[in-house]
Amino acid sequence: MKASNPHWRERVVEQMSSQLTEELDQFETEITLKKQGKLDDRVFAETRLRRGAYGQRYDNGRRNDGIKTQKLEFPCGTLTKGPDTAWDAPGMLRIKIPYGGLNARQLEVLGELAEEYSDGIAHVTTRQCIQLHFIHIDDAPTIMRRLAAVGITTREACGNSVRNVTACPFSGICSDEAFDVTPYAHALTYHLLGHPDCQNFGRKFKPAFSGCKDQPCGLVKMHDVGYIATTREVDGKVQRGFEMYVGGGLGAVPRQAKLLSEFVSEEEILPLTQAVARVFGRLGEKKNRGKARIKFLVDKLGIEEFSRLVFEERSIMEPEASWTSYLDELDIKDEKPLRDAGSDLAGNDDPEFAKWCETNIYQQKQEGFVAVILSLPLGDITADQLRSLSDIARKYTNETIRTTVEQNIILRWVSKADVAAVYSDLKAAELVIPGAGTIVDVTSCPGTDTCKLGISSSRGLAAQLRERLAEKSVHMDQAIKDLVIKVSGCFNSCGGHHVADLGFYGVSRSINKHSIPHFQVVLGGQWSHNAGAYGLPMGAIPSKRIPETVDRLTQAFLDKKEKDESFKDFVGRIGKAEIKGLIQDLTQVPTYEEDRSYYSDWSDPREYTKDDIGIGECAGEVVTAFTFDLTSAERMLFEAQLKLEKDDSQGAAIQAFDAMVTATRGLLRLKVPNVGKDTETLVQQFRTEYFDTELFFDPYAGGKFGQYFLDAAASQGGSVDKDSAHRQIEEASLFVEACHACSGRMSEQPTAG
Amino acid sequence: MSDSFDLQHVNVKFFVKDAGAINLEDAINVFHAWIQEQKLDDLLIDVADYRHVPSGPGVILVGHNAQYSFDNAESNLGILYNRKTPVEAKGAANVQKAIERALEICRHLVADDAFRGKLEFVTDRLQIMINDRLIGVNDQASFERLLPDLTAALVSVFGEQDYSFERASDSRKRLTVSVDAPQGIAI
Repeated sequence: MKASNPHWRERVVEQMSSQLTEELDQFETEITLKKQGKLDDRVFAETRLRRGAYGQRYDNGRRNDGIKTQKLEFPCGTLTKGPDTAWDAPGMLRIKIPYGGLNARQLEVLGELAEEYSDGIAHVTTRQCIQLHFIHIDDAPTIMRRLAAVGITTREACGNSVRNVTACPFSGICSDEAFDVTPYAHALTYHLLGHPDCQNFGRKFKPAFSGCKDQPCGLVKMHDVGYIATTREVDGKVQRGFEMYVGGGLGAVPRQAKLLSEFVSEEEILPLTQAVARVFGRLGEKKNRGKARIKFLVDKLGIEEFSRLVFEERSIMEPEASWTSYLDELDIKDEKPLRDAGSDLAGNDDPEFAKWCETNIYQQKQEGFVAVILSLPLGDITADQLRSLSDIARKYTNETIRTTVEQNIILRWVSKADVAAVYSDLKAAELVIPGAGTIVDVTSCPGTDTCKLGISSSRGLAAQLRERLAEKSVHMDQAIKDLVIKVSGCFNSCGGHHVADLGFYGVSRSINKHSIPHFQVVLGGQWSHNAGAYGLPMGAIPSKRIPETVDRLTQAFLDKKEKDESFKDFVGRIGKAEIKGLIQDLTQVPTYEEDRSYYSDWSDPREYTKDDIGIGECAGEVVTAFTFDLTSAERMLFEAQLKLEKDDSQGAAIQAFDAMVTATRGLLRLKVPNVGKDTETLVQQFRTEYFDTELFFDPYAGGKFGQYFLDAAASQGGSVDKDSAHRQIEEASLFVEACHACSGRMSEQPTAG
Repeated sequence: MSDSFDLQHVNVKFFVKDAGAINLEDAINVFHAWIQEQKLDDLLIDVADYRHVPSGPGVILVGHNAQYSFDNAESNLGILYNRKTPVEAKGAANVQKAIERALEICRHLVADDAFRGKLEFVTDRLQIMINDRLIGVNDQASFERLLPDLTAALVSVFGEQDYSFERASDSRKRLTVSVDAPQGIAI
């Protein structure tokens, strides 16, 4: 059932880049092909994931209602959008926001889309993205076009691809930074987006930038690849560069990223990352998804060998203009204030104002300006609030807005003279929740609310903790206020529990055939120093007893900490045994008959069960670049046929030839590393690798189908009529089929050893 | 209204008289029970809890065709029927269907033990929204095109009376019309 209005394309197409117009038209064609049964489930799943369209809980068509598992009879019948994923099941759309940067119009459009297609909420994620939930896949192309019209793409927001490039939200206004990393994050985003060297990963690849080493904002060390800004002096001139790290990650097997290079110059940062991507694409695990992140490759090879391979790869790479062209326009991301600098924050008699200023104002390095932090409960913001915020951003700033990994929004470049007025305007929009960055500001992944992998209700717990801690915060000691709490619904750590002082992740326990939601308590992680240390698990506590656990642990810290001792050091000093002793009694669960509340999760009256846990899509589908290319070739053949139907013979013939070229590129990937895009080179490589060697030859038809391609390449530019276009489509179809067959024969050949 | 102005995604909100009497935790429990019973003529899928968001969507029962919620937008608690999928009917018939569906939800809730005696509705006001900015641009022209269908739908459901209409002034909002029904509407 298509919910969206198809006329949106006409409305916004003029505002979209031609590339995004083409990409989204292709995506819509892929949806059509999937509905016609002409696209494989796995391929479509990875295709939509790479466009940001993610699965959601219950999309396998089953849901436990607390009594029994009900079959959700979606109207789509057997039509699926991935293995065991019903077409009509609501899904999530992840929207990439590189370095969290947004402008006012983008906020408004996000609000519009949240209202029209989602549930009225835009959700800020722990990697500075925005997510919309309960989206119908048929609406996805329209949503993507409306986003594209304001310069936002969802491309590669999910799937085995380069994910959102995150960066410190205070970049450019921070006193501690070496320099503003924003233009570098921007350049890396668009250099790697859709880059051929980044299409063959076994898992996702997450980059992060930080402007300095000591603060937490960039969280570099928990990323697949990370960059910390630094400078050095060469011949009396200051040179910009980055400490570059690889192989970090959280999840079930957390790893701190390792130093790849102490100084990578700004000219080298893009090509060296590309070299990392090539090595990861070539040598990273493809079959076992649990071992496919780059951290496992770094583990396996060792950082020295991994580095050697990366620099060796770098040495043979053909230069690309975009490696350094951005350096000529580093200032395009420079921000300017809209209003004059102010001298103080006074001017509001509201008693809550001073309290809010304590935690929600960040002093910029630029005299007279501050950044205002909007604390969003669980990262959620309504469409009305987004519109209000866009008005405020226009009124007081040059629309300098960033999302943060703490699921908040920052309004930068507010004159100190305007802070009181901004506060009043934000208050009218109910956006003045105090306690940003304190223990009250609990972050959480979606957990069982919408995630297929969620084990316990992370958002339910986070909401509960926020409410309780906010009540207590008035009389709370500063040492407690400064602690960080993060909650994940499972061990995958999307909530970032490893890098919190107090982290929790969802687990379950069973007693007398009843399941009980629990959270594993993880203590002593380090948010500062770019997520400099990971916490350790202390034991599982029933979900309903976590608030009490927080009370006990924070009180013990307050009572027993030494002067200026951090929570991490406190945990290390008093030891696991004593900590465990503090909370041991809380592990007990009343019997089902005594207290059934323990057998339900937060904000969910259903009797708890693990039956709803599905197969996650975080890992995407491991679909080879060959399969993607062949699928694209088939889509192009379909489009060629449509063109022929519309009497566009010339266009149909070109499209048919492009299909052959795309299929050839896929086939060459099986034999040649780093296949390029130049058609002439591809034709030559095909001749050398497949035709002259007779590897492509069909057992019955010999070289006939390969000759079709070579002939088509030789005749490009000639005149075309309807008959010849028809013939070219037929030959292209046979060639694409022959590529499939050739790949099949190659995979059946015995390998040496 | 011409056929080309094909109304879809009509939303209807009836306002709760005494929001203080309503505990939204009860809404969570009731909506989960409705899923167990598949109480509505829609595939009921899940419950979304947004109680933590000030003036937010409150508690939503997510269905395949529509979302049904205790909506707290603009700090004005009400029952919101939010149609997601297209319907066969056009114009006034579509608005009428949406109003009737919203009324059905209200009546189910009023009859539920959790809300009996607590849940009452404002009877002289409701809100209609067109949840697609291309179908219903929030401007005076669209508003005027909508009024005949809207009036016809209201008369069909609540009878003739001197309805008055006010459009939301912010042009960025969806086409949103507040309806005053001085002689009251039966919920």
